[in-house]
Amino acid sequence: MSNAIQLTDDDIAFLINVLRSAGLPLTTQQLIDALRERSRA
Amino acid sequence: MVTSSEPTLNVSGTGAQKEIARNVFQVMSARGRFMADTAPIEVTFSSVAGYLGQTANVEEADALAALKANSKVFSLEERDEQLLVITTRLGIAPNACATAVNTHDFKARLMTPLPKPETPPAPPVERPRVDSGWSALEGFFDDVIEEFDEVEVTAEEEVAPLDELATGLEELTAELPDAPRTITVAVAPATDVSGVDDVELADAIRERLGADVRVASFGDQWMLEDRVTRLSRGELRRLKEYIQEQERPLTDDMLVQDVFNIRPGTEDFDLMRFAVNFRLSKEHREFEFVGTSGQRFWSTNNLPQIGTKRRKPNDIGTDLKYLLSEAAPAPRSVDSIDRVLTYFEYQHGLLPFDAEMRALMPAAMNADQKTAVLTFECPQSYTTYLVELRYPTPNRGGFVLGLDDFFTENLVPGALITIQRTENDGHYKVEYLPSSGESMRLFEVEDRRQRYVFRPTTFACTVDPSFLLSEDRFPRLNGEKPLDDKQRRRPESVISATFERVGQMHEGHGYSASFEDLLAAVNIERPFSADYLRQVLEQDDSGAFAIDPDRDDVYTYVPGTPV
Repeated sequence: MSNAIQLTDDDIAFLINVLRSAGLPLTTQQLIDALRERSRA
Repeated sequence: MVTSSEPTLNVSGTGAQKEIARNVFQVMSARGRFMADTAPIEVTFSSVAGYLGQTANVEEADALAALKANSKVFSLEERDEQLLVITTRLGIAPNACATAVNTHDFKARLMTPLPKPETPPAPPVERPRVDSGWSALEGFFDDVIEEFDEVEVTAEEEVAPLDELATGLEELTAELPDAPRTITVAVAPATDVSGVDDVELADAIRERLGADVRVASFGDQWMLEDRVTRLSRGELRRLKEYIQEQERPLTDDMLVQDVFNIRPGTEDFDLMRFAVNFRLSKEHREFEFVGTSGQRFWSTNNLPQIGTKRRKPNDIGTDLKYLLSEAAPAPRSVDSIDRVLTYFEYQHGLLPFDAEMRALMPAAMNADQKTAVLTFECPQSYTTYLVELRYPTPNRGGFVLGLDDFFTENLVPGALITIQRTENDGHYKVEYLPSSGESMRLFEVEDRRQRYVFRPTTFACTVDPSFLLSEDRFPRLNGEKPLDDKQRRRPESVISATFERVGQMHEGHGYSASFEDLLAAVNIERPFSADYLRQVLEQDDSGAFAIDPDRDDVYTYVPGTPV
């Protein structure tokens, strides 16, 4: 059984910043893409 | 009580002149007895001289000399070619009186007000003093400070002389390149999500952001809560009234466009649409979400029911309770399904939410959602129907209501239909297989007399003959009455009644009927799936029903056996 991924407080702060800078409603998929982009950087 | 005393008369001159002055003053003060102290008492000099000449035999020249000698008491004034002698009751000449006495009259006080009193200087604020008791601690920390000093002195590194340090610094500076200095701050590493699939990541986001009060979410969308437009009480009331005016649930797109007059395609439209969805989701008393993620319908109180009024939705759900035992496939896991309409489905304009429909339809967006309003488009008739999907509850099966018009206008019981999903999880296409027109006497319930009849019917759709209720097939149904509620409540009673209506009667051996006939006819009274009917027939504890061993897929029923 694999352990479910846990997002850290830094990840959440990053997502909050993404939402703040977007100014528009974002979909879950857009947030996932943002997390993946950050992970690659 | 007013008191007055004789003023002290300050006369001067010789003794005779003083006597004359006193005499004149006495006469003049008698004349001005009722006058104010400083009011001038005027008498002509001629009358004064006449009086003195008659009473004291004083010459006019002596009298004038005596008056002039007492200028502080009398003043002499020439007026209208007459010499006036003027004094006051105080025995002071009016000129002197004006200067000496009127220094504090009203006029003087009005014109020369007293200077503004100076604000006294603020008393000095005393500095809070340290209580003298603290002086007892003087020297208390001296030992500690000394120990601290000792530690510093006993440090291993010896302090280099300042000259040496300066030299070393110059050498270091000479070795450094002229590049800008970079300060590196430790950054918290981002979670590596490269090996995590989207579903797991979405769950993690929902778990964390969903519990964060700073974030607003609706369906699959997220936004910062403080950026979501707030709706006033008046705006909420307008939304409610507009839905009630239209007498049907409305989508968020319609509400934003019609109530707030915002055009689709603009940035404001997306913002306001999210705001409407998010804010209305918090107004549980006034609004109910009845949509899907792709087509977000909102409903409110007192809207007309979608679909049939022949039976209450709760009763239909109870009839379909058998669906709860079916396996539940993943929502929207198939693209389309084919179905054959039973009479019960046709009469009530419904489709049971069975395993096939579950695989086609979307799941509820949240656990509290009871219904979802969907649109069924029939390209063959260019009509879109508003239908309501009632999700299953622990005690009732689910179903789709609202297809009455589509069925009655285009189909007959036994018709084959195809339901196809679209990209929008709230919109579906429903089609039937057209055929050349066919006429037949088909089964109907005469609503007015509540009797079963057969009427000539023409239809142009492909049908499954096994579900067609024609007069040729079931002639004994003609004139029968619908079962009463008590009888139709029990599936076994409905099946036994159906045996009697459509089965082949055997002398002393009850009835027999093919499963195909039973399934078509039993659905007149209440919904049965093939599996459910077979389950009731084969698991009947009373033993009234049995499989006919001599014939293929034929069942028997023996009346008199309690069912």
